[in-house]
Amino acid sequence: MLKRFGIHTLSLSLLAGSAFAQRAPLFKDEILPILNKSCNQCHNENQKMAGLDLSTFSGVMAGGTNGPVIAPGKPERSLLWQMIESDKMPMGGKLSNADKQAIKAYIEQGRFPKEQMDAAEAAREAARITPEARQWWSFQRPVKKALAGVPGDAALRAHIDAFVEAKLKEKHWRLSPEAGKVMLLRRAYFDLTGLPPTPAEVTAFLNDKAADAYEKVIDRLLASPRYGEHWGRHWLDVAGYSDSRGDAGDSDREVSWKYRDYVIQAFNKNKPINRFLLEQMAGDQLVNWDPKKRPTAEQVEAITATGFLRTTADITDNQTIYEVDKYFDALQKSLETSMNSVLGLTVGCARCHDHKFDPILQKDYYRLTAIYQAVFDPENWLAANLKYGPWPSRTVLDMDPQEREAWIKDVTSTGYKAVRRMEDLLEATYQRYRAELKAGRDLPEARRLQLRKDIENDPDLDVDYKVAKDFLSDTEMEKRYPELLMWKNEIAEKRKMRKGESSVKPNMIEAAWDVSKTPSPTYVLLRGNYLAPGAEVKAGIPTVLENPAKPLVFDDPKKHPEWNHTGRRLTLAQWLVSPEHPLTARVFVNRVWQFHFGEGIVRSVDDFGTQGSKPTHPELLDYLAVSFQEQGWDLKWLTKEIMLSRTYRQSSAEIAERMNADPSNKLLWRKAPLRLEAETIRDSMLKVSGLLHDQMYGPPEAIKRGADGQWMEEDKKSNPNRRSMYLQQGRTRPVTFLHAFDMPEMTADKQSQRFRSALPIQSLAMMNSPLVMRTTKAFAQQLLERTGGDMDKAVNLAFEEAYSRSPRPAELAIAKQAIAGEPDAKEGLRLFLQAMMGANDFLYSY
Amino acid sequence: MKKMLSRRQMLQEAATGFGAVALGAILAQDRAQAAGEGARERFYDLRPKQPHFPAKAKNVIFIYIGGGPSTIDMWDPKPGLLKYDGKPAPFEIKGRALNGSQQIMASPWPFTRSAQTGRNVSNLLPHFQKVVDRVTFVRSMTTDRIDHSTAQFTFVTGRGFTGFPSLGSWVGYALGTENQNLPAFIALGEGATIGARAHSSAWLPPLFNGTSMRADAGAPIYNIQRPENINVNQQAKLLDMIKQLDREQKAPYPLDQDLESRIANYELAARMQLEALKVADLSSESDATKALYQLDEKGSGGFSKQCLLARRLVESGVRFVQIYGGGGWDTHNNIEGQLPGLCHYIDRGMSALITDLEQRGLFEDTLLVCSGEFGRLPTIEAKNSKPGRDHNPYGFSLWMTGAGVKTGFDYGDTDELGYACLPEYKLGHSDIHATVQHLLGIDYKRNTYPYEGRDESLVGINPARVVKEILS
Repeated sequence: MLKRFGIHTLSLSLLAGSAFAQRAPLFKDEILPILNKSCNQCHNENQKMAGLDLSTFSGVMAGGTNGPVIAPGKPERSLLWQMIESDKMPMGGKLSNADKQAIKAYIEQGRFPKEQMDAAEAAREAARITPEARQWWSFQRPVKKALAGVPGDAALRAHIDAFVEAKLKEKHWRLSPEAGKVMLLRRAYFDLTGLPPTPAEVTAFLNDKAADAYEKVIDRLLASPRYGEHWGRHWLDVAGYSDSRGDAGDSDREVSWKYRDYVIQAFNKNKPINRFLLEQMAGDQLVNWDPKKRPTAEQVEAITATGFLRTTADITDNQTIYEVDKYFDALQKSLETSMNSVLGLTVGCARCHDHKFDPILQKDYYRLTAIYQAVFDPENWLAANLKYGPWPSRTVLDMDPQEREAWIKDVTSTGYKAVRRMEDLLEATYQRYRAELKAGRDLPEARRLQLRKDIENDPDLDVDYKVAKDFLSDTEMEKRYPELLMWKNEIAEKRKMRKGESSVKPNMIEAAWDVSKTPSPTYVLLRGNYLAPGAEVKAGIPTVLENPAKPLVFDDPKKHPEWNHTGRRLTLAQWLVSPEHPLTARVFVNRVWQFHFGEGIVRSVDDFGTQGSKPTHPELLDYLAVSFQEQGWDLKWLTKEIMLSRTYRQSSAEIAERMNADPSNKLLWRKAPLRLEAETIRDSMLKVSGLLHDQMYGPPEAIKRGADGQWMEEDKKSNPNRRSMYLQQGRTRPVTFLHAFDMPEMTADKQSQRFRSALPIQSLAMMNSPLVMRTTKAFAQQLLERTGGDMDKAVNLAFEEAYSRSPRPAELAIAKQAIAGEPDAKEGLRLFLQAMMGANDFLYSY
Repeated sequence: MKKMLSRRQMLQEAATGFGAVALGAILAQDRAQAAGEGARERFYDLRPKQPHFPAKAKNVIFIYIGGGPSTIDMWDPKPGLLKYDGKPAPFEIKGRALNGSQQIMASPWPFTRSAQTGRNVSNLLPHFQKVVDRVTFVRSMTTDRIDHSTAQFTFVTGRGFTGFPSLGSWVGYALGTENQNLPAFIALGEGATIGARAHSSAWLPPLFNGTSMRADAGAPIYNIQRPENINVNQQAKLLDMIKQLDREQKAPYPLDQDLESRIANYELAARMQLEALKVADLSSESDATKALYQLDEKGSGGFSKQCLLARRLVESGVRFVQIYGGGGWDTHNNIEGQLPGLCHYIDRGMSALITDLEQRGLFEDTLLVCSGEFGRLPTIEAKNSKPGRDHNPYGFSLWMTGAGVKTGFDYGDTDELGYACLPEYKLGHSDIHATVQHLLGIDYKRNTYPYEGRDESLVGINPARVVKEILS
C-alpha cells in the first residue's frame, strides 16, 4: 500500500551524519529533556491534553485518545513523529532539527519491550472500555420477561398492551379507546400499502360484523404486492438507496433497481429478516459465488442483495491520479452506513480517534474496515462507473459464457469504443453550445470549431446524458448547426454497420464481492488520514461487543480452499444475526415500531449508543426483540401483532391534559396523527383519480424538467403514473413534488426517519404543481363518468374515494358553492377536488 | 413544555393579523434525530435569531464560480510569469492531469492599474477595474482538494465529500431570516459541477435547504406560478376552500400544531407567491439601474439579472444568496479563446452589483464574497493544441467586500509565479467559513447541530481561524 501511494520510507536513511546513527538515544537523558522543553506543558500527568502524558516513559508508551504515539522501529507509523515532523506540534512552534532527529532515532532504535507496549495498549483500552461501559443497556443481551399477570404464552399483542398500560398506569392514565372503524382501516391501508382503501373496500369492512374483520384486513394487506413496495421503500431509506452515484456529474447507476426489486420481493415473500440481513451484508459469500463464473439461478438473488453495500455515494472515477482518498471515502461510507443501519451504532466517530462518547476504539473502526476492505480494496479498486469494463468490474455479468464473451468483445472493441467516444463528444457539444447560447454568446463557425476542439482535448470530459434540453431541443440545435446532424448521422451509420450496440443484450447486477482472497493489509489511519497509516489490524468487531470468553474468529481463508472469498463479511453478518447479539434484533424491531408509530421506542433509531435516547419502554423493546427472533425473524408476524394490539388501535383523539403532560406521546396514550410520506401522498393522488398504474419492478421511469424547471415525470417515453418508488431517484435530481414533502435526496447516504416538515413549498405544490392539476382533472372526469354527470353523486363519491367517508354538511356546502360559482361546473368540481387534496384529511393518517 | 405553550399562544395570535405571517415560520420539527437523554424536542423555524455576538453583517451574497477561475489571469497578475514566459518553471510545479508541463505561460492579456489602490486587473474585466478599489483580496487561498467535485464540496460544506450542509444552510440555521415570506437561503443560476448539493442542507432540517430560484419573472421558484388555466379568483377560492375544509377537519384536533401550521402555510404560500413574483420582476427597476446592469447585453445579461435579483433579495430580507458563475471555467485548453467570454459573462454583473449595493447603502448590512473552488496553474497544459491551465489548489485568490470587511485591502500573497501561497499567509476554506460566520455574529464553534452522536459544525475538526486582518 505504502509504495503505491507514494509514501516512501527513504527519508529514514537520511539519518547519516546524525549523532544517533550508531546508537539509540537514552530516554531519560536525551529524549525526556526535549519533551520537557517542548511538549510537557500540555501533555503532562495533570493536564494530559488529548489523553497524552509525555512526561514519563510509561506515559509515552501508553499513548493518548488518538491511540499509541509510538510504533517501535517505525517513525513514519508513529503519531509522535508525524506530528513533530510536520510541525503540527508543538503547537505554535517547532522542534529544532537536532531534536527531531533525536526523537526519530529514538523511535527507530529505542528499546520498547513488547510486553510493556502490549500492557500499555491493554491499559489504554481498558480505560476506554470500562466494566461500566460494557454495562450500557443496549450492549446487554435482551431478555424476554413478561409482566406479572400476563401469561407467557399469550399472544405478543397482549404483552405489548401490558407494557404500555403499565407505564400509563403510573400516571393514572389508560389507553385511549379504539379508533373508529374507518380511521382504523385507513390507518392500516396507509401503514401496510401506502395507499388509501377503495370505497368498496371500506363498505365491505363496515359490513363485516365478524370479530376478526380487522384481522382479516391485515392478513389481506400483508399478502398484497403493495405491501412489499411500501415497506421496501422504508428499508431503502435505511439502506440509502439512490439511482445515482453521487459523483461529480451524479451519474446513473445502471442497474441499481435490481437491488430495489430484491428488497420489494424480500418483503413480499416475508423473507426471514436474519436471512435478509445476511444476504445484504454477505450474499456473495453465503452462496460462495465464484466471481469468475456466472452466478447460478440460486445465487443471483443473494448477489443482488449485496447492492446494499453499494448504495452509498462513490465519487471514484479513475480519471485522475488523485483518487486514493476517494477510495477510502467510498469504503468508509459503505461501512458506516451499513453498520449504522444494522447495528444502530455510529461507528464513524472512531474513524479519526477513539469514539468520544461510546466505548468504540479507533482500532475497532479499522478492524471493521478490514472486513469491508476485501470489497473496497484501495490496492485493487473496482471503479464505480465502469459500465463497459474492464471486467471483472463491480457490475457482475449474469450471462452465459458465450454471450458474455461476445458482449465484452463487442463493447471493448476499438470500433465500438470509438463510436461511444463520438457519442460522448457529440453530447458534450450539444451541451456546450447550449451553455454558450444560454449565456448569450454567439456561435459563429470558427467559435464552434474551437469549442469542439476544446471538448476533444478536455481531460475532465464528463458527459451527463441527463442534462435537460429545455433551452433548445436537439432538433432545433441541429437545424441551426448542421454539423451536429451530420455527426449524428455518422454515428448512426457506424452503428448500423455494427448492427446496433451489440448483438447481445447484457444482463448486469451491481454487487459487492471480495476482489481477492488476500486483500491488502488494513492499517489504523492516524487521525483518519490515509497518508498516515499506523499499526496493522486484522478483521474484528468492536471490542466492547466482543465476548472475552469466546472472541469472534475470522477464519483464515487459506484454510478453506473451497472458499471464493475471505469469509470476513459472512462471519460479521452471522455474528450480527446470532441469537446472542444484543443490538441487531432490537434495532430492527425498533425501526418497525417507528414506521408504525412515527417514533421508535428508542427515538434515536440510528443511535443506540450513549449519545442516543434511552428506550421509553425498555422491557417492551426487549420482549419484541426476543419474540421476533424466536419466531424466526418473521416480519409479517411481528407487524400483525403490533397492528392487532390495542396500543396501535387506539384513537388519535386529543386529551388536553395529556397533550400538555406528554405532548410527544412518549407514553403512547394515543396513536398520534402522522403526515403521510411524500410517496404516499403522490400515490394516493394517482390512485383516487384512477390514474395509478400498478406495474411493478424494472428500470426506473425517467424524469424531466418541467416548464418552470422543476423535476417531474417524463410522460412521453415513460409511464408517469407508476408508484413514486419507481420514478428515477437521483441525488441531484429529486422529483420536485416529492422533495417538497421530504423525500430524501440521499445526499447524506441514508435517512432512516423521514422529516415530516410543514413547509410553504408544500402548499405551493398543492396549489400549482402539474401533478395536482392533472390528477384533479382526471379525478373530476372519472367521477362524472361514473355518476353520469350527477354533481351531487360525484361529490359524494369524491369523499368516499379521497377520505373514505361521506361529506359532512359543512363540507357539502363548500362543494356546492364551489361548483355553483363556476361557469364551467366541471372546473368547479375539479377546483373543489384540488381543495380536498390540499386539505389535511388527505395528507394525514389519523 | 414552556416552549409548546408559547408556540400555541403564538398560533392563537396567528389567527389574526401579523401573527399569520410569523406562523408560517413554524415549519419543521425534528423530534427523533435529537440525541441525548430522552427525546429532547427541538423545533425549528426561520424567525430571526439573536446572533452570538453583535454582527457586522446581516446578510451575504456569495458569487461562486465553479470550475476553477484562473485568478492569475483575472485579478492576480504575477511578474514572474512575464519573466519566465515560455521557459521552464524555476521550481517544480505539481500538476494534476497527465498532459501538464513545466513551461510557464504569461497571461495573454494586459492589466490595468487602478487609480487608488494601484491594483492590477486584467483588461478582460473592464468594469471590475473601475470598482476594484472597493474590494479586499485574499491572495493566499488554498484548498486541500484538486478535483472539481471534492474541492467544490469542500468550499461550500467544509468537507471534500457529498453529504454535508452548505454554508448558507448553516447561516440560516443560526440566524433565521428577516422576511418570513421568502426562504432564508436562495441559490441563483447554475454552474457548480456538484449541482444542487452546493446549496443542500443535507442532514440539517429541510427548512434550511437552499431554494433554487431563477431570474425569470414568470417562474422564479418551482410551483410558484399559478397554472395558466386558473385565474386569480379561482385561486383565491381554492385557498378559501382549503381553509374551510381544514377548519372543519381540524375540529377534532384543536391542539394539533402541525395541522394548524399547515393551514397557515397556504396563506404564507400565497404571500410567497406574490412576494417572489414581485421580487423577481426586474422591470420595476429605475432606468439608471437597468443601465448599470445592462440586463439585455449579449453574453452577460443572464448573469447580470441574477446579480440584480440578488440585490433585490437581500433588500427584501433574504439572509443568504448564492449566485453561480456559470459553466465553462475549467479552462484546461485554449484559455485564450475561452477566458474572454467567461470574464465578459460575470464582469458587468458583479461590478454593477458592487456599485449598486454601495449606492444604496446596502453594504452597511451586506457582505459580498466571490470565489471559485481553486485557481489555475501558471504553467501550460495541453501543449500540443491551444494551451490552457490545470487546476491549482496551492494558491489562488478571492475577493470580499461590504459589511465588516476592509476596503481596498490585500491579504497574503503567493510566490512570484502565483503557484503556491506564502506559508505564513496560508488560508483555507474553513478560515473563510469561520470569518463569514464571524461577520454575521456567529461563533463558528458554537453553531452546531447534533448529528450521528456528534455536535457537528460547518468547520468541524478542520483548523480554522477568523481572518481578523481583513475585518474593518
